[in-house]
Amino acid sequence: MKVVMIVEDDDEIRELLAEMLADGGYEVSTARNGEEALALLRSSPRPGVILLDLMMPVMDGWQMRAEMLADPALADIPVVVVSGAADLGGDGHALKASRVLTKPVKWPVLLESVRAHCN
Amino acid sequence: LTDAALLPTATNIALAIACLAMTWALVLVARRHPRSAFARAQLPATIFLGAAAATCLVEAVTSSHPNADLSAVLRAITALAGIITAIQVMSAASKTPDESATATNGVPAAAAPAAAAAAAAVEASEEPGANEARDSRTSVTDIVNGASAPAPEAGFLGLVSHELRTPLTAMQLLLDRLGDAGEELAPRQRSIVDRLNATAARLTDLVDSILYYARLRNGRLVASVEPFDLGTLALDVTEELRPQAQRKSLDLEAKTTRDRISIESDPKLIRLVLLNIVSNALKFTERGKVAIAVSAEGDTRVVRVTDSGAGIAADEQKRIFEPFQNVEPTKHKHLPGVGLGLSLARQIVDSLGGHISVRSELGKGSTFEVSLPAVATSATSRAAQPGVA
Repeated sequence: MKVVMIVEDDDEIRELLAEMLADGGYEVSTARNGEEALALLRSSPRPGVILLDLMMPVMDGWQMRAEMLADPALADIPVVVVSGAADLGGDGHALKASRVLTKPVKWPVLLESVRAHCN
Repeated sequence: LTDAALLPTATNIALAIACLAMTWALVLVARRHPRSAFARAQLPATIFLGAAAATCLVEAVTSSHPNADLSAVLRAITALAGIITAIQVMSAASKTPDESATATNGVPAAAAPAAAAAAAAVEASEEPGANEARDSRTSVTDIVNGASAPAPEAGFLGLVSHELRTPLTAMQLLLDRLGDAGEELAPRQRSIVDRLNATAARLTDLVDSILYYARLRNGRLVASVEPFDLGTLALDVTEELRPQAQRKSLDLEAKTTRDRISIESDPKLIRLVLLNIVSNALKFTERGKVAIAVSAEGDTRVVRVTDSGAGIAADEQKRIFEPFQNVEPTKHKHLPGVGLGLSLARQIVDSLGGHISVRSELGKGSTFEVSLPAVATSATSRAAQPGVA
């Protein structure tokens, strides 16, 4: 079973997602912003998928994605963007995400996105 | 310095420092936000504040032996730059409703440059990490496409969207988790979860409606055009609203052809239009039925929503498409809604190159007709991005 990494600054959502994914049998790692996530990515086994919020303090999701794409070791880790940003438009494409989900996201949809990369 | 001159000198120096600080703040804002609606006001505002600072300094230096001519010249420059700034700010504010509220609400005219700076600063700070976000978005796009990123969502709208969607997400996930409990829930508990789900969906639709409405008002709505089946979409909307119909024991039916009714338009926007029209019909119908009929008529796709409600008087038929208008508000005080739905529907349909109309007679129900081009013709449309859900 591959690890699912959750990068989300909102404590409630991060913990809830971690709990629900753990209940679903997934191993979960969490980070509160892009900086924490990059540090974790560079020091731990690579996750099967990253659930990435965009609007976060310290380092947001766009910056983190730019750093990932610039690093050959991280560039091909699948990313599912889960954002409350009102209109990602072309950004969703530019982020090279395997999927872009708009908050509030439905659990079955999110789970399906995780399964696509982690089963 | 004499004791009498000390206080005016100190306050003049304090004022000069304040004006110079504001000047520097404006320069920073202008550098970071060259495309801000208030950018044109930055130069006169900077001159205004700089001249005001110089005036204060001259007054401070010459307080014991006033140089009336120099002060008069500086005051004239300050006044001229102030007036130009005010005109530029007012012009920018009238073009951008969001920022105008910040720039003009309760701010005295003399503080116009400060208001402009404050508006720009608010715009810059509303999204957490907004500057970094914009810079990095450009860099991501540069990496991938070598092209510039699309204009970011307006600061206030971005904030509203993010801040409302975040707790909604937690609520939705908790409801999904509760729903997953399945057989552990008693029928009554299951019914409560279902109703909470419907309420969460309504709240999400309301947030979407407000955002779409604000974007339409600001000319920032960009449609994502893709081919889809209008008949299937109408059936989905019907099913989504069926609980609302069942609560009032109304029949809700959708008629569509067996063949696919192809359209190239924005499915999310059209879904919102149909949701608003059908939900409105259900709201104002007490008995009978609401019927949705979808058809292809040449290059036009038509959705007709007919209800057996009270009907709308001729003089009210135009007004219902205005924002924040409910028909006969005194009679329907108990009904929910802010009167945004039909106005939003009309503006969305217009933006997709279509047309919306109503035929109605008091006591005989109403028919709302949405005509859409088979291929959206709006200049604001763009092809859907592959890989974006």
